[in-house]
Amino acid sequence: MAHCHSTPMPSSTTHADPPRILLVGNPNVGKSVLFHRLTGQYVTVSNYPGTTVEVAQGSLRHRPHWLVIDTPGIVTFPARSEDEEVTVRALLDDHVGAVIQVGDAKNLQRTLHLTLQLAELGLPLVLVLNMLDEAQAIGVELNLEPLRRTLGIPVVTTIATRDQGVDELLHALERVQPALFHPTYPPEIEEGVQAILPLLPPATISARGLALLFLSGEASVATWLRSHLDPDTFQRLEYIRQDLQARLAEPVASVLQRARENVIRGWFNQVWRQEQHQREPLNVRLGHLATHPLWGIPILALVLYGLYWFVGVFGAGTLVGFLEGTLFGQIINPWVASHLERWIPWPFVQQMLVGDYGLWTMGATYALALLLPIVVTFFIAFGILEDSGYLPRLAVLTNQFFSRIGLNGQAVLPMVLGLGCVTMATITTRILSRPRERILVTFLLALAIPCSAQLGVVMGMLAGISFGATLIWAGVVVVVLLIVGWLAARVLPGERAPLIVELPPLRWPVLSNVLIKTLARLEWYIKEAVPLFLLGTFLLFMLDWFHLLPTIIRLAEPVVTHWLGLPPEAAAAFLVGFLRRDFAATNLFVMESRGLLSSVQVVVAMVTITLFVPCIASVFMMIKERGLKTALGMLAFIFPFALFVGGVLYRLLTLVGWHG
Amino acid sequence: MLIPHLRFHRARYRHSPGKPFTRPTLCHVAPGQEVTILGFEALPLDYQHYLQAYGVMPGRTVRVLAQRPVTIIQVEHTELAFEPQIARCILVKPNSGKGGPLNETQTPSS
Repeated sequence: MAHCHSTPMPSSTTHADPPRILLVGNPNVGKSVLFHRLTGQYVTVSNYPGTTVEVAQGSLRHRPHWLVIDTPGIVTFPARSEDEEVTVRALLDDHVGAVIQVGDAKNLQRTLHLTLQLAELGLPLVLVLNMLDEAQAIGVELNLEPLRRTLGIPVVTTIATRDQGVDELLHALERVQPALFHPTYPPEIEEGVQAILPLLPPATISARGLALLFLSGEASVATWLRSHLDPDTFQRLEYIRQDLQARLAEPVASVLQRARENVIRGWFNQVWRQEQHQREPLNVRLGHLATHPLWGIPILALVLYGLYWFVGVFGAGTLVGFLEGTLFGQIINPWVASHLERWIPWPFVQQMLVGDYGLWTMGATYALALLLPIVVTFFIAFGILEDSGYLPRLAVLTNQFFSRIGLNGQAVLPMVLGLGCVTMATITTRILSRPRERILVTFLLALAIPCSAQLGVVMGMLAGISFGATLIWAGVVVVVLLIVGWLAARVLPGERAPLIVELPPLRWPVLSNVLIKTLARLEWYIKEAVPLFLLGTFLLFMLDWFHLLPTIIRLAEPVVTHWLGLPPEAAAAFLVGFLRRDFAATNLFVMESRGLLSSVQVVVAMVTITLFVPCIASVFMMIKERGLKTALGMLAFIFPFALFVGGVLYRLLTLVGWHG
Repeated sequence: MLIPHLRFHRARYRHSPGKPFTRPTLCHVAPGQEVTILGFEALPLDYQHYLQAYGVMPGRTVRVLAQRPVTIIQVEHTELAFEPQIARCILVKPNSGKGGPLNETQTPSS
């Protein structure tokens, strides 16, 4: 195969906006850590491929007029999932001044495949080989001079987690330029490219790069071209692509990839040398054990026990006990109440702030003293799991379970994150490759995954009854998840996508990364949850103040009392459950502590509220991510179904004479 | 013995006893063995592109790490896990060296 050296010619474009530097690379190569090093700003950094669900941006250190954009990891072009498409759109739509490709130094060939694809786009490019420490640990030596000479771009090595090599990268950005090299493809493809070039509109990326992306079947590029060309011209492009495909024995993307592979094979021997290591490092052996069909189970049990101890015992027990009972119950709330009653003479305002349904005594106390410790501990634990690289292994272990509900093990990430915050998890469904999977996971998250705040309250209440009560609650929720998931998978058109996932190395979590992620998630939670808690409390207060609560309780009596077998006052809890179900659970928790609920009623109420939609914010997110029609369809099923299951459970428990 | 043979994975072999492997796939390879990728057979295109991006492409050598609960391979220094239905579509040939040569009549270890 012949290769030519030529300077790609970027198509003309205007640069009215500040120049942007895109961080692009395969998943799990340390882009987000490098982003932080380059900008001094924090984004969610994780060790699970694909958790950069929103594109973060910040000013470059020492050069504030340059904007750095951290894009979601992309395995290859064409993009395969929604978050990969975000990266393609960033390359197409932004006024890109330069691209920093971040690659894994120990996976050089994979990195270079993406380098060649990016080089074809004609954008100024820097190649960063990150995680040099991991490469050196396995005896890798890199000779980068041939690569620099051939590609004609700066190639630097970094260890982003230790801030090593970042200054060199900043210097390299001063001499950034488009790559001098691009592969020559088989004649049919080159003819296709030549036929397309005159028809293309001006773009930030080179016309050749645009043509190759279009020919390889990149959907985002096709959409972009459709919106920038008249229908006849776009139709001609489609004809050229179809004609080319008809002339080739295999898909265009495969032909392109093989040509690039031939180029890279030639380079690899000049650049890469590795001493043979006989013994696998401990983290590699542990990683293998974590996915082992036998040893993986006790490791999973250990992880779950650790999670339970840290979130359930320490967070929901020790921390909540201290904050709610001592700090708020004995010190803060009495002080606030006594001062406000002295300063504010109007009973309406007094009651609104520190009454039974007071914004402070109920809304703020529930949010800060009861739920915040649980959420904080959960997010810390989840951050550790993410950073350690365990979650993809969990995807492998749970694949069999998820296959029964039409999904694959990759659904475990949004599902486990849903145990922290369902709204956040609904965004994370973007990492799933097919729309069918995204709809299924969104639906199951809304139906049967309790968030950590609710889970803490539920566990606390059920543990007070018996272990059997916890088992019944968990059993019903899991059975509902399985049956509804199984049925939904059969109703939804399309086939189940088999699991295919990268397993990153197991690593010790970096404390600062875990804390950064926890803070970012906490900020999200507080912004989302606290206003809703205050709104819910205010709603209850107004209903109580204007004596409307008894009317609502009376109206809800056929469902709440006759069908679910709960005391009429529980209607108030279900009412606020429309805003946040953990708020409803907290209300029921207070009812139970006042002796208003029997064991059966607690279990029935907890199951019903768990199957409710998590919160109003998650409903908005469902609409944003899945569309109004789909979201309304899910809600129309979930609310009546939650009440139906609750009523059936009440009758079953009464029938068998269960009393806790 | 200088000519390398595939060590077949016991569980996969059991599914078709007595039938010779005319076209060995990744699904049939015992853990620990290195093989060369020959191509894909009946694998949807998006999966082919995805695997190729990781380096699972004709001519490349991969090492099989596990076959249960799913197939796990090492390509370069990346571990990839996928279901047997994907592994069944990846045609392979044995490499010499790693794992020691065993022929099909010997009991494969897994």
